[in-house]
Amino acid sequence: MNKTSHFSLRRLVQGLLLALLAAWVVPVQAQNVYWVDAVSGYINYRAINGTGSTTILVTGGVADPDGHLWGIASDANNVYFSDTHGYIGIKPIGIGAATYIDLRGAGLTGAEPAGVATDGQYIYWADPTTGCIGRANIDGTLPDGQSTFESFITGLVSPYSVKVNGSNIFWVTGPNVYTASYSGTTVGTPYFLFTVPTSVLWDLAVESTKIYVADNTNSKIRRATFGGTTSDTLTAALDSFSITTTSSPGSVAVANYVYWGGGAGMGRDLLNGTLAGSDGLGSLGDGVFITSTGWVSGITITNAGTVITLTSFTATPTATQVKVAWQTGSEVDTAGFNIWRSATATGTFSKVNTAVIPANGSGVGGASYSWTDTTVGAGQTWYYKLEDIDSYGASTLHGPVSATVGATSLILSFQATPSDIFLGGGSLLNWTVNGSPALSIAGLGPVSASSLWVAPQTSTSYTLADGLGNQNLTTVNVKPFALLDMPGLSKAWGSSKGDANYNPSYDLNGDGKVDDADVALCFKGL
Amino acid sequence: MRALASPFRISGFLALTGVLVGLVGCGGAGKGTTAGPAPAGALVYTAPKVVGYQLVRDPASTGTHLVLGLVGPQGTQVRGAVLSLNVDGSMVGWGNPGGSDPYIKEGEVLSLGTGTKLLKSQLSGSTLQAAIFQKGSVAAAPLGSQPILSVALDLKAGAHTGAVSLSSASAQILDAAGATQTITVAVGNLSAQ
Repeated sequence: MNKTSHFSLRRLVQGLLLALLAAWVVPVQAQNVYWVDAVSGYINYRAINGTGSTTILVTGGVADPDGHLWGIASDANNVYFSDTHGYIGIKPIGIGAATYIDLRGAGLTGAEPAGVATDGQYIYWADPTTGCIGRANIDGTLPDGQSTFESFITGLVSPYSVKVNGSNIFWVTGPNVYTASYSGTTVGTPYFLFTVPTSVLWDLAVESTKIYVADNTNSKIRRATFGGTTSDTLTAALDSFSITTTSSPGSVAVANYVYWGGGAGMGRDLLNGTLAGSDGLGSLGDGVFITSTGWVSGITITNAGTVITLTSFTATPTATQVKVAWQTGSEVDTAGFNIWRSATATGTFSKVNTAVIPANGSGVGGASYSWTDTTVGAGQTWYYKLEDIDSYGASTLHGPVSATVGATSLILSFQATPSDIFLGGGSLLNWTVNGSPALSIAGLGPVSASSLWVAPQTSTSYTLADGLGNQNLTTVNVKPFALLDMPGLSKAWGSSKGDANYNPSYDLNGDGKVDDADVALCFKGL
Repeated sequence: MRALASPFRISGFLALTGVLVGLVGCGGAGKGTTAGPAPAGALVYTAPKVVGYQLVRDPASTGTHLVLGLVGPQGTQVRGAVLSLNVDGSMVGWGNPGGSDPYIKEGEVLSLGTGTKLLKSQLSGSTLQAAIFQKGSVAAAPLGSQPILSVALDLKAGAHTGAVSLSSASAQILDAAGATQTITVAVGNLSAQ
């Protein structure tokens, strides 16, 4: 398969929900792993160790929300990605919507960007259709005083993936890997680095002295070691490193581990080529690292440096406010927190705290925090995300969690019968509600029925919450049985629920009748 | 006993001893051991001369074991009673009148039914609380000469002769209509002789 046919085939099979894809990676220090699922068109991420659930960062591109996203790169603040309909997207890792560079509209006619890279100053993309490598300023504006976008390197043969290391640009074409030195606005003459026989390379990843390539044809991850390290005398040759993957890899990245992706999900391995399982990752080693990813066309590892373990994150409404509370198990280089709010779970979130909430935890001990949102409208559900910010400015989002403020109470009644009980007896908490609210009683947890038998040892108040910030309170008063209560016991004895003489206070066991069993319970406390 | 060891009490004891010695020396007939209160050998109870609820002496009483019965106005319909009695705990103690409960015995007025009887006492220091009730809707019983319940007092060893304090702190009955009424229980004179 040559590069041109591969790229065309990718577009052909998108409608069949299985893309044959190129892959484009930026290897950096890691906390999260982000990847492009070319089938769904989403950019997803997880914690770097692959644990936890998958979170969606971007849902589709500009022209077609269902797909057309290909390559991906990242720095501490943003994820950069390509939309093959002629766009480069910039999505903050934290809060904020994606913005797009319209390459075709800015002078690059026919642009179909695939691989993406960044060196912290520029965004680079490989365009196999126009045979060039382009670049824009990191904020998406025109670079180098250009009035319209101009390609940085032109005349290439179908470059699918591009990487930069600050002094050189690298790209793949068929079985070959090429490079060119660059400095500022000047770029050296492209030259051949090495080839992987009988292969079509879909992606490459560059670290200090190694270049990893995704050999799609032979289902392998291969590696070349740099010889000369000066940019203009750079040489590289394949070494013995080889990982056999479970499917044809379309993407590769490196950051402490080597990661690859394809149709079977994502895998990772140690940089020495031995199984990652040997470092305690178990089945996450050679082969499947993260499953259910559709088709992974690009992987990037963020260097969002803040590391916290979040043990709880809640939003609790009252009639007029929402208390946002969270607890960390540990914090590493955490500077503080921000709270972001939106009216919808997937909508635009806005920061609602005026000053960063300072961090109080440490690497070995977490801390508890709360912040109250007093600017919420009644009767509305609000969604909150927690942003933790590290000392280097990188941040990570958590959530969202939601709370509905000041909604009309769904609790019609809540009472204890009887409200006065003798020690050893009990009371039936019963309630009526509208609809099917998520009811809970403080200290007792969620409740689903319409009543609950309680037997407190001391006078106790119970609070029933409807999950919308509304609460009803009832109290059960407890006192020891005394001989002066004997007249009441005498009158109630033998009665059943519904009888005139029935008094639930003397029905200590709550079986609906007052009998010797209740007498025994009364006398037990004497 | 600790008070006797005080210098004041010792000096008073020595002074008294000196007087007694002097009396003996003058040919007096008195003996030192007969000067204090005499030890009591029996409890004597005189019922109050009133009409109404009162404690009366039960024939089952012995010299040092006094059984007192709670009686009420003839013909009054009751379903139960609860009362609290205080006594001078240095002289007498609450005893067992011979019933199933340690401190009270049911009378022959109320029908307590089967199963667990609503018959219960509570002793706290020298205060006895006693309760006896019929169960449920059993018809109220008319009072006659028989006691509703009985309690007992035992003369304590070493008690001296003299009046013994006995009183009723509170009392209630459950009447025929199922209403609780506060009553006054008249208590007679109790003495140790």
